[in-house]
Amino acid sequence: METFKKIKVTKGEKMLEIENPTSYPLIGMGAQGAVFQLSEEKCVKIYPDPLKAEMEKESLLAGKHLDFFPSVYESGENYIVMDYFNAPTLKEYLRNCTYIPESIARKLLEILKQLKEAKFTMIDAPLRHIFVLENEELKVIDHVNAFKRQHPVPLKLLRDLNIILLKESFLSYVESLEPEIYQEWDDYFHKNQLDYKEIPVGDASGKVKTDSAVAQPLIGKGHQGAVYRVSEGKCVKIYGKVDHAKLEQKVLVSGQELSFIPKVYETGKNYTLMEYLTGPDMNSYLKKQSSLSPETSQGILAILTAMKKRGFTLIDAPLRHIIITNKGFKVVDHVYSFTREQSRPLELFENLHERGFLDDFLNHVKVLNPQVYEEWTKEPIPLPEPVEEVG
Amino acid sequence: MRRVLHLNLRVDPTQYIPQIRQVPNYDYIHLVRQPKYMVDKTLLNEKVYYLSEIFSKKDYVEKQKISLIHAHHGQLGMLLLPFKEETGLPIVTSIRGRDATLANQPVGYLENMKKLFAEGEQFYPVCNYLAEKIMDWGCPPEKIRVLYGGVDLEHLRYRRPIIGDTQNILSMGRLVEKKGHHILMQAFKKVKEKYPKATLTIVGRGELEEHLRRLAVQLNLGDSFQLLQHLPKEKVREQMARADLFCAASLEASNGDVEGIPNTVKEAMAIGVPVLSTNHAGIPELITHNVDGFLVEENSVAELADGIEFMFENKGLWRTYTYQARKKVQENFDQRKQLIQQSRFYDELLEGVHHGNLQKN
Repeated sequence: METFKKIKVTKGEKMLEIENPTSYPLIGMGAQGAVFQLSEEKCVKIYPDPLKAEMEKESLLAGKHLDFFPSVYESGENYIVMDYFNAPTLKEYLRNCTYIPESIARKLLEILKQLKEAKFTMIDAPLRHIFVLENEELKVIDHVNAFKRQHPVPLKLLRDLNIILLKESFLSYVESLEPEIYQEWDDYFHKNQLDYKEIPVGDASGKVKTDSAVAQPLIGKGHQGAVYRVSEGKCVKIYGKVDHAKLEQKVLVSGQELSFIPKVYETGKNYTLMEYLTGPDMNSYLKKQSSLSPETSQGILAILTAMKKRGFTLIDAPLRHIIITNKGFKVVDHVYSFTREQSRPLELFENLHERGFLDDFLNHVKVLNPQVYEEWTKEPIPLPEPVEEVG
Repeated sequence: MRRVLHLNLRVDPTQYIPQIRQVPNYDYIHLVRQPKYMVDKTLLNEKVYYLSEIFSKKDYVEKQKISLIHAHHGQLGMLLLPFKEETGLPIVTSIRGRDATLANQPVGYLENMKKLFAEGEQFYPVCNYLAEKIMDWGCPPEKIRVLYGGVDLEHLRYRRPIIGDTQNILSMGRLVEKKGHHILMQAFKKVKEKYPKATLTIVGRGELEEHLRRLAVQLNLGDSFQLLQHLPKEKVREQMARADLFCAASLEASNGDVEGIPNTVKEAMAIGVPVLSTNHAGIPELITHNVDGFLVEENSVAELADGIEFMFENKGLWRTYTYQARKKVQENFDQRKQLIQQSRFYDELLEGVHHGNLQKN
């Protein structure tokens, strides 16, 4: 009989590396381990780090009596053989729901209560780790950090439910079914409602890292900083490095009269408090359009020409950075606008090319501003080679 | 002026824009669930907002001075229940077809609709047929106001039907099972035996496109048949104006999905194209058989083919049919009147005023 022990899982640079000479299919991979299906009922999780295997074993043992835990059949230094659930995840199960079913809300609450009673510190699970078996029986997998992370409130669960717009209806049930728990969560969020100036972003090296316990909603995270919503009309960008804050603030503050620059309300050493922009980004929007309207091209061109006029050295506007608001197009992320040298909007070209609208855009520009068209096209536009299909 | 917070599926011209933006005496906020549902920039204005982006519902409602929430589908009504709970605003919900069925619905749908029926203030099914359906599910009859959808009669001028020797049949609607295009194509095949010059044009987009194209080949319909993708409004009107007969072969889909009353049939009736349709869902509330159009049983190739032949053989009836049809649409399906009706329903809810001419349900 084949043995899964021939499978090698090691840590790669960005993700796990897998060498699988067996026919057991890989069914899931996370940061700590890879899971292979062994049979209709069993799977094996293999960990590159034996410590993680030990941590998960300990949790699975501590939760052995909980009926939503997978059963363990066998384990070794770097692996655990456990139940395989051939079932939809809760995220899939709730697809298209606009109000969480009461039965699911009750079962989730029961699970959270039992995790707490069993003294786990991670009273939480993301939707993709919860499986819905027949008769709507729930099973929860991935317990590596069950005793390590401190989530007294189900931050991941609430975050995931919020993304699919079911958080409110879930909380509605929590409030009526378990008012004490509701109060506890509410207190926790109030306690963690930090002054935005104190939201921690980044480690000692300046690398951006966010803490999921922060109560303010995280809107986005990039290489230079993280953005949190602080009120109806405002958000704060907190930078990992003070230098980045300085660079961007210079651009934003000096460009306040430009229509596409978000309003700035306050700046600090490592943060900028600014206007919160609502609307789809241009990339998502164009995905749903069958053509590029001349008005859209005109709007984008106006931004780029204004950048040049204003002395920006980096002339570009990636589609995902253009937000279509009801006060016109706005552009976010200006850290390098005054320091990088780039006279043609190459990333924009690439993005438009990907959407199939680059030729239309250039044709519009040719009519709107022949001189700019000339400047942009006198050299060939570098575009990524199409990926050739192999085999 | 009072302001209503409307939630519909998308900012998109096909999604009940007049019922949001042109209700007399009521200002609006046009809400969609998330920014990705804003798909037509020409409809973006300072009144468009996103549910997912509201930071504090209470503050928002106070600042915008909102008096009422209107959800334009059953599932959107459910979604707004927590919003209602938090802000204490009344909520009205339109019921448009599939939302009164269990077709392709998510887990817990019926249970949650019942919750909505219990907590929502008013429900506006788009026909009596759907009103019956939601009553069967437990919606209290006193909360129901049938609100027919209207068409823009100012842009739909009546012209007397052209009684010549052509037999051009037109059908419009998404390419989905409940529109019955497949039944129409088979019926058309039969009709062609007697009327070899007859043509059939179907206008629409949808998941069944490939299936219908294959069916056309199988039936050997050749040049007499064309399937046109979604057309701009002017082109649609051109097609309408050229048609001799408008046909809507609507039926209950195998998953239970049903129609309300198709707007395209109302439009055809408004401009004077004779109509043939089926005894399905709310359609008999629009077409009175043998008075302003012709109705056959749904999901029957033979009946539909007979119906088409009847219409071709009795062109003498077309003038009275179309005259009566225009009259019917003017009376019950005029967008201007229906928007006034909608605003009266709002008044009734917010002021407890009865205007006395509520549609029967």
